[in-house]
Amino acid sequence: MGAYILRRLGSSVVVFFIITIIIFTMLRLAGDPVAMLVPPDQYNTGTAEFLAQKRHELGLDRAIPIQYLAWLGDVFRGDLGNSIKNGRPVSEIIGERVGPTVELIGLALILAILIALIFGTWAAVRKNRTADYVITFISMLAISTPGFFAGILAIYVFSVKLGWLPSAGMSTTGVHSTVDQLKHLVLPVTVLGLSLSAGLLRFVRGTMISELTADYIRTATAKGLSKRSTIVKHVLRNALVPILTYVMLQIPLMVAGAVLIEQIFAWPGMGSMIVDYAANSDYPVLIAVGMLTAIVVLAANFLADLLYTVLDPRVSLR
Amino acid sequence: MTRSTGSGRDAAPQRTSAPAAADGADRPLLVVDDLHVQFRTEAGTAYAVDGVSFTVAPGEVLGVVGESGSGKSVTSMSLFGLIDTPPGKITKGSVKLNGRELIGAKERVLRKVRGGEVGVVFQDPMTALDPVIKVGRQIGEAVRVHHKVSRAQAMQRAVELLQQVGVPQPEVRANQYPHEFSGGMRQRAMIAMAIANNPVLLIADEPTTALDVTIQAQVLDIIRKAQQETGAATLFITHDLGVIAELAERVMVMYGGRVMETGSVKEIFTRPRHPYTAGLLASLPSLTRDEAELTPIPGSPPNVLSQNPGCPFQPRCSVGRDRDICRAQRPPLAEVGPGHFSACHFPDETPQPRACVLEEAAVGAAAAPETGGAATDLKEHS
Repeated sequence: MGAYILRRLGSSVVVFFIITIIIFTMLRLAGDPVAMLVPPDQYNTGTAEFLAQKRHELGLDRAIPIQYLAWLGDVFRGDLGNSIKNGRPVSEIIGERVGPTVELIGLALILAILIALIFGTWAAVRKNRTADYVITFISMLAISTPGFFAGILAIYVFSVKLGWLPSAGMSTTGVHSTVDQLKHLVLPVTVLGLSLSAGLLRFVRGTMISELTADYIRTATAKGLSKRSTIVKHVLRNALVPILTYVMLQIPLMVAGAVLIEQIFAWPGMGSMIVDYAANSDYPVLIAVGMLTAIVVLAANFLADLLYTVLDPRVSLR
Repeated sequence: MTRSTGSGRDAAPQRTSAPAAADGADRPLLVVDDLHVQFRTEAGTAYAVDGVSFTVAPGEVLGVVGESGSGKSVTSMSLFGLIDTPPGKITKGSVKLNGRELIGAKERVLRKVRGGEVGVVFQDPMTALDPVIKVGRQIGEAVRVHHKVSRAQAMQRAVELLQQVGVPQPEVRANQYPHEFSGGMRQRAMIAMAIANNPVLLIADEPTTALDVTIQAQVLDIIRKAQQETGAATLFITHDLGVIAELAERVMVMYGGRVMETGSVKEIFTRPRHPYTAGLLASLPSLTRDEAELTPIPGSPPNVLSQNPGCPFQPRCSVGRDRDICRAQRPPLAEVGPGHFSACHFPDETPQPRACVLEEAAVGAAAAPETGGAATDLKEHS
């Protein structure tokens, strides 16, 4: 077990470095942050020289591998660099945005898992009956509805028409109350949570249906367990392993989904920040975001592997 | 064996049923009458059980034999609502346990019967145990469903039960998961689970079919011992006539969802009154005679999707193949001797087996334990 964890950590580090190389190279090839500093209509004779000098200052005229190594050296010293656009430290820019995004994704994920487990199980138990058809229909509808459309629709209905909930931001300016903050959470968390839950629900349903036909279910019934106890004590417990895998694989997609939702609800998280800085090819910020995402994904997979051993005694890590 | 957990509760129903058995052995424990079970399939309705009636006396071992698809498993599973509905459906019939009707009974009532009065041992111990829960806890769960005992008490009872079924180091084994058990050990754990609440009826649904031949005899011994210790009547389902000869007192032969013949083991094996039974006996390999080939029953098992107005065995039957009455009219299960019933229009024309078939079948089933090393284990623990 200990040896496995060490080996797994080692391979995660290697994967992480490969990811940084790819992200760095692609971002450096994809756009010129310096050119974005001067609007095209303000170009004049000195501009080209100014830009060349600026590039030299930033070290962007060097070969990309050299730039990468320089960047990596800075990272090891704990310096993620500064934004090219506004010169602010990247760690500071990201730091102030991480909280809201974690809050949004975390709550949406919890909501999605709850919905998927409850309704997915319900549909599985009622397979090919009315409840199953209704749940399946709604989940297919949710899968086919893009998050941005659902977001706009939710704003139109609940904010514009009904006026029940605020449509943007984390709180009303000048108001400091928990109720106000909770109200701001409702729409973005629900829209993101619902869109995440649809796919997960389908997966839970399928997994539960196959587990429900397993022989040990009949054994549990023969022991005198009620259907409910059988599902809670045996079926869910067995279905948890594949469901966990699925959730862990969803995490990168959730980050992508959050970008859209944050834009629509003017949520001051990393998603809206990414869009701002990507428009300027502000690579120090973007690479840091990429790194952070990579760490989250690697950590989630690592955690999933460790949880398997807890959830499934047949899995032993060697 | 000490009964520390819930002994007061589960002892009670046993005490009441025991005198009933004593003063009138004619009062059966289980009465199944005209049971019909259908399955809706894509190909049509399958008449899996088609009018089956039988009784089991307290403490009696009834062997149920038949080919795959004869309805023997479905019959036993539908007695206590263990078939999936849908696609299955009990369309007609009555099942009475200790005089209480179970068909149409409330789920709450059936739950008390399952695992309490009736214990089931399933065919494949590889898949019948929950892979992610410790064996001791799964056995303990059977106790906890029916008795208010603590988790620790249930675990203690599980250890006792594992010991009772001859699992070595029961304290260690109780804390292991099913994948750490061998097939034979898993089946012992299943048996422990089935007898956890001292059932009055044990259903063993081909309990040795999925096991190695060397293990089969050991598991049979365990079932026999468990049956004797708990005094439970047993419905032993198998396609192995040798096992029946070893274990059962009475036999019920099933074919195409119907009972073909029922009677004492001795009667059925030595004087069968149904050509199908005779065919089964003739197809047994002999250990004592030098045979070049086995003798199969010609043809294949019936298609339960269509309901034949006559005898289901007629197309394969050496006696009735060309007779109109066998084609057109279903023979009733009629008494052909004391306690011996046959559903055949011409029971007296049944070809008779070679004389030594009963001994041979019994020898076949008993041959294995001498070869199994763990059989000695078993004796130490008993």
